[in-house]
Amino acid sequence: MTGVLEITDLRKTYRSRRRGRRQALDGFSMSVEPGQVHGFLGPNGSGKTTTLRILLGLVAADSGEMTVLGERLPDALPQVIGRVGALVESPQFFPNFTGRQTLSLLATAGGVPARRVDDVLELVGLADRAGDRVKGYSLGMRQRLAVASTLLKQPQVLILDEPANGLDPSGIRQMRELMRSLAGAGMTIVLSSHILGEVQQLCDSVTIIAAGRRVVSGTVAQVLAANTADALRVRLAREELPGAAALLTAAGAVVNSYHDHLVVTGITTPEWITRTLAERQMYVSELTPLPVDLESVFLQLTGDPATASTTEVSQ
Amino acid sequence: MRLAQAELRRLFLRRFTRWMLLIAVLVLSGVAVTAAVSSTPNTPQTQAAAQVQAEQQAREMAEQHRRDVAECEAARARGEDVTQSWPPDCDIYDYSGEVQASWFLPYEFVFRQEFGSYLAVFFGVLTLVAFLVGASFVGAEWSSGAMTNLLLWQPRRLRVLFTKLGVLLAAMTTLTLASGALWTAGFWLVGRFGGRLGELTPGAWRSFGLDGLRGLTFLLLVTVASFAIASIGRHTAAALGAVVGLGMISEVGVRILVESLETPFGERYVLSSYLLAWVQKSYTIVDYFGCPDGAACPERTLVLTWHDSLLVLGVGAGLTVLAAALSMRRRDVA
Repeated sequence: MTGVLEITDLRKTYRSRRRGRRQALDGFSMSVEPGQVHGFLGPNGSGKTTTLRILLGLVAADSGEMTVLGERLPDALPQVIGRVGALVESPQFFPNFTGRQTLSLLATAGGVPARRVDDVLELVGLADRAGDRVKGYSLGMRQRLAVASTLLKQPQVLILDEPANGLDPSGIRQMRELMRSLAGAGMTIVLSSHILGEVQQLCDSVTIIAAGRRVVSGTVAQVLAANTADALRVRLAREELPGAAALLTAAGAVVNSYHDHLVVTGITTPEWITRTLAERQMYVSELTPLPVDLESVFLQLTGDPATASTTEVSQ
Repeated sequence: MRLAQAELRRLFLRRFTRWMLLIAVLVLSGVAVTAAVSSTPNTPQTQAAAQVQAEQQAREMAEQHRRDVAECEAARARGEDVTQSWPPDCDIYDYSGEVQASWFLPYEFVFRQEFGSYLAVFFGVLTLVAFLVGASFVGAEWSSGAMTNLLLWQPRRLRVLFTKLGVLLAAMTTLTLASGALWTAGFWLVGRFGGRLGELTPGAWRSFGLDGLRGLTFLLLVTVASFAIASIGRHTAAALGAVVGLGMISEVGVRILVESLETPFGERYVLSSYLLAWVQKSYTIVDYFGCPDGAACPERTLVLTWHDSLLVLGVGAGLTVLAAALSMRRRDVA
C-alpha cells in the first residue's frame, strides 16, 4: 500500500430486523495517489457513502484493510483524523448555533487556533453571514459551512461527499475553483459527486463503484479511452441505414440505429465495418470514434451492476 | 481537556439550556419572593394588634352565645322542639374563652422549621431542569447530526460520550452548589429580617447539609440517567418516553401485579417507594396480605431507607450508562 488512501477488499453487510440483510460493500478496493483529485462515483446505494463512513470510523467494516496517510484504520484513526477533513452526505449542524459558533466549537474540540475560523469562513464566502443562525442558512450555505468545517484543520486529505449539493451554478463554480486551489496547494481530495461534468473537469483520477464493487478505476483520460475504443459512429446514405444495420448485426456487431447514423460496438477494428458494408455496395461517408464523456461511461458501467466487470486501467 | 472546554461552551451556548436556567431562576425567585413578602416578623406591635383582635373576637362570640341561649330558651318557653337547632336544655357551648391571640398573628417564616421544605422545592425544580438539559445535551446532538460532525473530529467515541457526561455533571454540580448557597442565604435573610431564624444549632445546619447532599445526589443520578437514555435513543424525547414508560410499568403494571398476586410488601417493587424513601429519608410499607383471611394479626411493616433508594437508583443509573457506552461504541452512525 503506497497511496495516500488505500482500501483493499472492504466488506460490509447491514443487518436489520425490518429490512433484512443487505450487502453494501462486496470486496471493494480503491487507491488514491498523493496530490490527486480523485473522483469517487457510483449510483445511489452503490456503497460510496458506506465506504466513506467506514474510512471515517462512523461505520464498522466486516472485513478489509484501509490505510490513510500510511496509518492503518480504524485503529490509528485518532492519530490521523487531525489531517483528514471530511464532509459526508448532507451537512448537519445544530440549528440554533451561528456559523461562527459551530466552527469555533469544532476548532476548540480539535485544538485548532481560533483565527482559522474566520479564515475558512472567508474562504468559502460565508464571512458576512457568520453571525447568523445555521437554521436560517440555505442548503447551499450549509454546504459551504460544511466545507469550511473540513478545512479548519488544514487537512492533508479532504474527503467530500457531494460538496456541490444545493449550490447554485455560481456556487458550484466557486466550489470548483476552491478545490482546484486546494489541489494546487498539494492537498489530496477524494470527491464523491453526481455532477459528472464537474468530476471530469476537476479530477485527475476516478473510481467507479456499483453494487459494492469497484467497476473501474484509473485516470480520467484512461477510463474514458478504455471505454470509448469500440464505439463508432457510422454514417451512410439515409436510405441505406436499415440495410446496413441489419447486415452489421447479422455479422456479429452491436448496432444502435439513429435517424441519420448508426452507433456500432462489439467489433475488433473499424476497417471491418467499411469492408463488410463495401462488399454489399454500401459506402460509408463517416466513420469516427464516438466521443464519450464520463457520464456515458458511468451509465454504461453502472447501468447493470450485475454484469459490470471489475476493471483497473493501467496507469 | 480541549474537548471538555468545547463541550462546556456548547452546553451554555445552547438556547435550551439558557431557557431552562432562566425558567428555574424565575420559578425559584418567585418562591423566595413569595415567602419573603408573606412573612411578617413577630414583634410586640403585631402581638398587641393580635391581642386586640382576639379580644374583639371573644367579645363578639360571647355576645353571639348570649343571643343564641336567649333565643333557644324563648323557643323552649313557646313549647317548640329546640333540638333541631340547639342542644337539649339550651346548653350551648361558649367558645369565646378559647380564642387565642396567636390565631391573629400574621404568617411568620421560621427558618429552622421551614427551610427543609423550601430545600425540597429547590431540588425539585433543579432536578427537573437537570433531567431536561441532560437529555437534550446529547439527544439534540444526535438528532440534529451535530454528534456525527463531532465524531469526525474526535473519533474516540467513549471519550466523547464521557467527556460530555462529565462536563454536564460538573456544570450541574457547580450550578446547584452556587444556587443552593444563594437559596440558603436568601432564606436565612428572610428568616433574619422578615421572620425568625429559630434555633440554628450545628445539628440543624448538619441536617440541612445532609438534605442538600441527598438532593444533589438525586439530581446527579437523574441527570446521568436522562443523558444515558437520550444517548441510547439518539433523541431527547427518548428520555421523556422512558420516564413515562417506566412510570406506567412501575406505578400501574407492577402495582396491579403485586396486588393481584397478594405479594407481601409488594410496594418494594414499585419505583415510587424508593423515591419517597429518598425524599423522606425512609418509607414504611405495610403488608396488607400478611394475615389469614379475616383474622386479626400484628401489623407487619418493612422500612425502606434512603440507603436502599441510593442502591436502587445508583444501580439503575449505572446500568443506563453502561448501556449507553455499549451502544455508543458499537453503533453504526448513519
